Amino acid sequence: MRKFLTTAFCTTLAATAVGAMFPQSAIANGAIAGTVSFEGDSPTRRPMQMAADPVCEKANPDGRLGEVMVINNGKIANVFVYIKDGLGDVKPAVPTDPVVIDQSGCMYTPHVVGARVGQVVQIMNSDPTLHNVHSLAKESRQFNSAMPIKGMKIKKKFTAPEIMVKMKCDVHPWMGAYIGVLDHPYFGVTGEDGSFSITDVPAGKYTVEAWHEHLGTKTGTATVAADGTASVNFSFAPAAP
Amino acid sequence: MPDYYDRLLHRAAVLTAGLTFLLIIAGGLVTSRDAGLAVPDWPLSFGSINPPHWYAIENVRTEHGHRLIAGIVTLATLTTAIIAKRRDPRRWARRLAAAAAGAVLLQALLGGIRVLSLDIDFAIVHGAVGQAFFCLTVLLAAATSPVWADLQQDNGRRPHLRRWATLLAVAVFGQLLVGLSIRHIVSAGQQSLLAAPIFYTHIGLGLAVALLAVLTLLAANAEGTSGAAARLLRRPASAVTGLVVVQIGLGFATFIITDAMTPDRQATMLEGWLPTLHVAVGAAILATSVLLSVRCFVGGLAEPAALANPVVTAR
Repeated sequence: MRKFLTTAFCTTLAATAVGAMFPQSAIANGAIAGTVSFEGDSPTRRPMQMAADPVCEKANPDGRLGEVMVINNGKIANVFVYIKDGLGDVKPAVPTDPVVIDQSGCMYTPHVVGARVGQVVQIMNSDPTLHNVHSLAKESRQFNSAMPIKGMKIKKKFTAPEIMVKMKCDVHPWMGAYIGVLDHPYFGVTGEDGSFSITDVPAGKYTVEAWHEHLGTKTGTATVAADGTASVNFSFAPAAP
Repeated sequence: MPDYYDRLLHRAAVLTAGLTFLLIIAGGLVTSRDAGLAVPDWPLSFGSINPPHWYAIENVRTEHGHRLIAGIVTLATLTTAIIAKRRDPRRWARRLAAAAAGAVLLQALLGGIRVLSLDIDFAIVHGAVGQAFFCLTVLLAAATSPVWADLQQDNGRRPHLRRWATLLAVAVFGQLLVGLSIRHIVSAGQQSLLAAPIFYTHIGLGLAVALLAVLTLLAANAEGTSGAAARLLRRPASAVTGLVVVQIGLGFATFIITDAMTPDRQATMLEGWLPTLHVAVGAAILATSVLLSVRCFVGGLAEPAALANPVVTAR
């Protein structure tokens, strides 16, 4: 009996220790992947007009194309894809690494990004000109900070989930970025080829949403098996005029 | 009430009104270029009264230029109020000047709150108070003019003109509030104005203003066609009607030019100046209609004998 109790105690202790060392997100090996497509002819990307600030114009001698509608071979970039529903209470720890957004060449890089509630968002100014970073958050406190010096960094946090927080520079109205703020880490942003991947997803059935700043949202479902990859593809029609 | 005319006070008041009109144009341009928050601090700009190279970047130039003009208007208004307090024997005129001084300080404070709070509702309030302040400065310029006493000597009651002119002033102010909402809230989105119900309210009110302007002009014409009446009632009534016609054209052009604008680029010169001109003409219509309305209520019109020899105080 004593031997049984000792074995049971040690097993419980070991399980607890392993659980603490590897939270659910770390031991979940599922994934959701797919592509986001555009129905119809790809619109022409509009060149940005940056004459309002000579520094910006000089930084882009060959011009710069807008980032609102980036569509290559029918695939859409800068689409934020995230698990909208089905996670329950799964909320892995907030990463200590910051999400970095740079202001370079008078554009935001990246244009669309995700962040966790409470995670540090570090905004940098790599340009030798003035920028101001103006958050238009509705669920978190808004901010508007001047960044007049090259190399300057500021750190901000969002306190509530929000799809999406727009960030803009009032000095250069063409500069805009979007941050998807979530209380979980299961999100991704499509690349130039329209593909996305959300990793370390626990097994389960989920509602997945794709958001685009101009085209709106599309919803799909994904059933993720343990160690499996669920495929979800989205297709956007041209926005109504 | 004694006749009173102080050349210095009147010139100060006219200068203040003129500068305020310039300030309204500058403020309109700030909104048209979406430059209102390009300078994130207040009352200083980037921690300085006049930051170096502020004129190099368009939106900083627009916002800081607006602040500089606002500072000049504040000084002009306070100076006018001080002159009025020291030299104008009419208590109501001194109070009017004091009200203008209070309004300009309130307006500056609202501008600061708009910048620091990031709340777009304050942008609308700031715009509305700006228009009301402009009316105050125009009234002050009129009240210190040499013809003001003549208005008070007349016993004409003019019920029709009073009614239409007052309704016109109220309708124009309402129209300005709707226009402000469209500029600050609806235009900030990416939807066409055609999808916004408030846009149709703006059109409906515009038609109402046009109708009221015509009725006011007819009522003003009925007061006579010669003498002081022509100068003090028919002229502003005619001016308002003409300005309304211009304003309808400007409104249509503004819609055509700016409705396709997306918030992800710098406004072109036409996209910046056309809606600004629409705002400026709106301010002129409001001020003229308020002036006409007040002139109707001040009294009537004497024959212009006194105009030739006004009481002049040139201390």
